[in-house]
Amino acid sequence: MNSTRRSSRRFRLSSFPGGRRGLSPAWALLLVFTAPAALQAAEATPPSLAVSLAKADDHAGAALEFRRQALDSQDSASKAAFYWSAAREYHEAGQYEVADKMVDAAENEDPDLLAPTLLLRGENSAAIRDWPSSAFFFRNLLSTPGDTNRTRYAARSLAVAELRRRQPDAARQALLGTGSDESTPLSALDRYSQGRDKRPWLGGLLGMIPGLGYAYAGEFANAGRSLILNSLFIFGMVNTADNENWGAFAAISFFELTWYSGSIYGGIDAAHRYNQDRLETCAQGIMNHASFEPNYATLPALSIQFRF
Amino acid sequence: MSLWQRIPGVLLGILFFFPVPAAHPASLAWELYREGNWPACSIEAARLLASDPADQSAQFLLHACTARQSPGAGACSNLLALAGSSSSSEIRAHAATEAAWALLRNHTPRQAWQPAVQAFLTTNDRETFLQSLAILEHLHRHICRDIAMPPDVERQYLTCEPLLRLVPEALKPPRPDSLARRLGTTPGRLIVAFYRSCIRPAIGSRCSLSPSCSEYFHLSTRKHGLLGIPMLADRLVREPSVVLAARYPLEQDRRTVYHDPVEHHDFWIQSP
Repeated sequence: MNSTRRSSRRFRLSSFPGGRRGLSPAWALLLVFTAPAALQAAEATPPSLAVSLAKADDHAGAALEFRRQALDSQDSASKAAFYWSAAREYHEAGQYEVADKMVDAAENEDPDLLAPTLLLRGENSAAIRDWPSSAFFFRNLLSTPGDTNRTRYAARSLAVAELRRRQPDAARQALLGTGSDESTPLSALDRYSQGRDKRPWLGGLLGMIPGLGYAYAGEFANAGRSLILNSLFIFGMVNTADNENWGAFAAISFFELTWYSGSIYGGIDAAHRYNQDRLETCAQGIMNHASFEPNYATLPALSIQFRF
Repeated sequence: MSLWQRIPGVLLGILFFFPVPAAHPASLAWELYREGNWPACSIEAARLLASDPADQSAQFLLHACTARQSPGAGACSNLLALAGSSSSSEIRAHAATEAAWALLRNHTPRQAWQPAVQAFLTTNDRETFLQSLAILEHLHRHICRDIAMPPDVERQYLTCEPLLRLVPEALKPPRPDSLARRLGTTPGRLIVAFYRSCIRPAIGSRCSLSPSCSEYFHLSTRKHGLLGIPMLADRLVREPSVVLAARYPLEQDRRTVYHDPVEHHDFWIQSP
């Protein structure tokens, strides 16, 4: 009994690294190989710096720190999560091309990260107004199994992308297919469908009568200013021509030509702006303040919160 | 042999067969360089140099980013020195390409010939090769027509010329503007220059929008030529309404201005 206890004590003290006999050569060699990596890991930037930068709205800085962490991480899942976070921050910083590159890197590291990458790809495509691609990614996200909130967000984003592709019926189908109560987005879509777009060519044509193009798009103040400016300069032209003051006539004619061409251009642009505003109002109504936010506190595990 | 004595041997064996590839410390800086993010890349390069002042890769990145941000004579000479002295042939080629690019931008294009040829002949990197090829083609066609290529360089250049279609636009030197484009943009440029030098100093900056109306005119004529004239007239008519609507307020020089860029009014021209 006594001998057994002694032998067990000897095992604990002599064989364990740092035991009574000091470090064995094999343990020392292992420490030499692993210590630099351990030190590097210890020196790695703490996640809080990236998160602090993100909170301070320095999204490009935060993205860079997340990239650094991705490069420092050893396992694929952590790398993917950090790359995804970098992509999200680049998206917030308006650097959509790099954001896409980071999503690619995240997907390469962890192909199972399908839903979050589809979500960001859809958002990036929407940001660069590539509506067919955005619709494609959100449709794929919709077909990926997930919780109700993600499905609702994907459906609304898909509806917006379809709406911007001038396909309100497809947008309606996307909203109806969720199985949730989407009455507010649907009513926004109804209001849009009941209204009518202005015709830019008609705006341009009406713009040939100074100010009328603006008035057609409902911009009456601009119409009034355009009418007054054109009238003044046409009066100046007539007056200088009557007085045979051809130098002043040429100068005033140049400016009048500018105002007149501006009236035509403004008529077309105002119609486009009107249509764009209508579309924006509808898109905001469909999204109805829906957004998503990554929860960086859980990194390197990726977690996304959807808000409605 | 006890279990504890066996563990380190087994772990060392695993380490030997499955070495964990540590990220190269300069890889983030190189990625930023490839992305053209010069400010961030120069910070990363400075960080690397702080830990190892002899790191030639970091030295190159820092000089290249400095040259990209302000291609002065100092930046060019630093790059040329690195192109001649670096112990790594690839860094020499990278530095030669960047020096050629900086010399082109620094309005001393004839001096870019030699570094461009050096990079073209020595690099093994795909992007550096394509970039040096594009610079060489630009110099050969537009600037150094009188300089005869050495026969071996000419042979290689002619062989590689079809590869020019693979060069991304970002790596190509800017082409001289066409006559039509110059005719379209010159009146706008002259009017803006006259306004900025003779009128604005007297009346001050009065525009409540961002970019200011003169900048808007400058940008729109650069983008659309003579169409910039009606675009400016439209802007001047709309200005009070944009201020009243106050949709995109910005703080600029301690006053509130309203964002109204050219892109908000020409999106329908660009769309197919």
